[in-house]
Amino acid sequence: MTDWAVKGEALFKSYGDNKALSGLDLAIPKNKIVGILGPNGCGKSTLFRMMTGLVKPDSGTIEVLGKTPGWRTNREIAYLPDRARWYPNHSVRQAFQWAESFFPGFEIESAVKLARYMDIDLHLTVKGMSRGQEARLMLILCIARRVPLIVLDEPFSGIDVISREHIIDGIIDFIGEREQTILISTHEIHEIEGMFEYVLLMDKGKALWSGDIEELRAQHGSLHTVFRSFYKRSVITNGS
Amino acid sequence: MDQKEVSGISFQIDFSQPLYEQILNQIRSAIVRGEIGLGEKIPSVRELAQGLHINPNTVMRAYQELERDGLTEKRRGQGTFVTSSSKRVEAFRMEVAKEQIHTFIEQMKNLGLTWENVRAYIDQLLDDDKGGENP
Amino acid sequence: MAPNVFWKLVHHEFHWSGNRRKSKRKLSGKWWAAYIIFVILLGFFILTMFSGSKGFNLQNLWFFSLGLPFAIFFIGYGTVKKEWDNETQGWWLSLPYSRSFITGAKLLGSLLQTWLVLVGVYLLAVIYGFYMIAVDSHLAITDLGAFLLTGFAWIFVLVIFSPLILALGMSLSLVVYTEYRPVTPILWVVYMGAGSFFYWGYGNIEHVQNFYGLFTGKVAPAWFPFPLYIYGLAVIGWVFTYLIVRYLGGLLEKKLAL
Repeated sequence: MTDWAVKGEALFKSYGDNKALSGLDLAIPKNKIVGILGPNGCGKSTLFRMMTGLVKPDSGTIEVLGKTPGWRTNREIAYLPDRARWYPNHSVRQAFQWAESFFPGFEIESAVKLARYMDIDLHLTVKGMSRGQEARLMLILCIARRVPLIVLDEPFSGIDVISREHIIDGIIDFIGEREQTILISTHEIHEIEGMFEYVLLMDKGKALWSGDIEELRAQHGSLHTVFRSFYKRSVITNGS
Repeated sequence: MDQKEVSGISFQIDFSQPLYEQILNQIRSAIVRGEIGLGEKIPSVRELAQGLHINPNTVMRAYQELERDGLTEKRRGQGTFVTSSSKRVEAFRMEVAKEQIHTFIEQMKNLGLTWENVRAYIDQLLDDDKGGENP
Repeated sequence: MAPNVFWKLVHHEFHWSGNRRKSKRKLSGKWWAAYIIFVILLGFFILTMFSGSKGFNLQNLWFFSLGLPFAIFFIGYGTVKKEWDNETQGWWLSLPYSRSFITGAKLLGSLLQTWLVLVGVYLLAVIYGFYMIAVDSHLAITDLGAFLLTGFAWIFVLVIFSPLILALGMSLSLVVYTEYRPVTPILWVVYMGAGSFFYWGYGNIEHVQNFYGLFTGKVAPAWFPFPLYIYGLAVIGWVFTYLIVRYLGGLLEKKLAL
């Protein structure tokens, strides 16, 4: 059990008529960059919210780092919520100070370094930033943390190409040295395809395929091809 | 197919094939072809990962294999360098060539061709080639 | 959890502002400051108009602050809602602290804001009061004294009941994000009804003491012109506040519906 970063069995969750998860099974290994992939509405965000205890399954079990999800396990998880924004009156520096106060494992020196690297001025206020800069800031708040699990829900949505490249470079820069599991959910795979080591493909609340990405490539080809054939609809946007 | 250049080495990354092999083979051929000279520094794992937007672990595996090949060596504090021994590169080139020739022969056999067919064709090509060189 | 972290969270609640949902319709800070200054100056202007008129009792001024309990309720209401308005609710909810910890910090943060507002209102009243007796020859220091005493009693009551009012406000906004959402309209009716009772019903039942009596000058002002049981009610209010905050934490833990 403790060899998995996240383990889930027969997870079900419905919101009225909407079946977000319909019998999802997953076993995500530790210390890899993992892609949770699938079209909008396939249940990725619901799954992430279950991992952070924000949502409880209707039935089935889920364990994160060997424990039941809740505010206690969130000490060890850095979570970037989907469609998240940051407090508008904060400057970057204030955001870092906030994170230092409330996010266990946050390393402010690393954050400052990343900010320089990603071209974010410490004095900029969130109100005055572009969405791309805000996305970069929120990403820094997550990855500048020494925690075993980082969960990024759609870190690229609505983000310009340059910011995306900065984000990917930032991730590469930081994860090299650490024993961390990083889960990234996205429905746009163009720039990030090369980063994944393990993938879980979801559709309509279920798992379609999961495993080593090089194996997926050998069996089925590129993620682009996989998306087209597995999902039988075009969900790829080639950057912006 | 994505063409990218990192520190002067050009890569053709095809995401429909396993990446580890592609990186490994492309660096190998760059060394063997002399695209990267003997004793020259190759990009660090991080640099290459960022240049290609590929997981550094994948790059690291490839680099470890290159060291096992004897094609590269790590110098502490300085990075990874191509070996300065031309003999080793030569030896490796020969090994790769032999492997490819063996593969080629297997393929010809699978097509049902005999040694004679193949040799005759190769001789003909050689003549044409020489013919082109004659003033 | 380290108490230090709790007070840092209170401090954060106290300070953070901004509302993305409303920001397109809301005016910028500069306009707000201009309007507030304008209203304060208008206050001076109106007071000057009133000065010298017969039957004007300085205490009547306190009627302008009748909306304060509602304002306090909506401070409580807003403290949870603004997380959703600003789309920061994901961060708030995934904080690695107990649910009562985070709801408690919101309550305390909004309590500090409320008390600051109340003190500010009182100070403004003091300024107006002094201005009035300077400008109006009919008024004397004793009138100012009555005015300030009345106000003190009023503000004091608000101060001791604000925790409960804030907690009720918080409950109304928070329940929307839980499985108990369908109850929301009933809560609106109950809370607004209770609020009305505070204004009208209380006075009708307790013929003696009523803030209307105080504000119109019918009742003589004193430092604490209310019966002892008001204090008892306030203490019960604090207990209820604590229970509500814990209950809301429980709702977040078990009944959150995102």
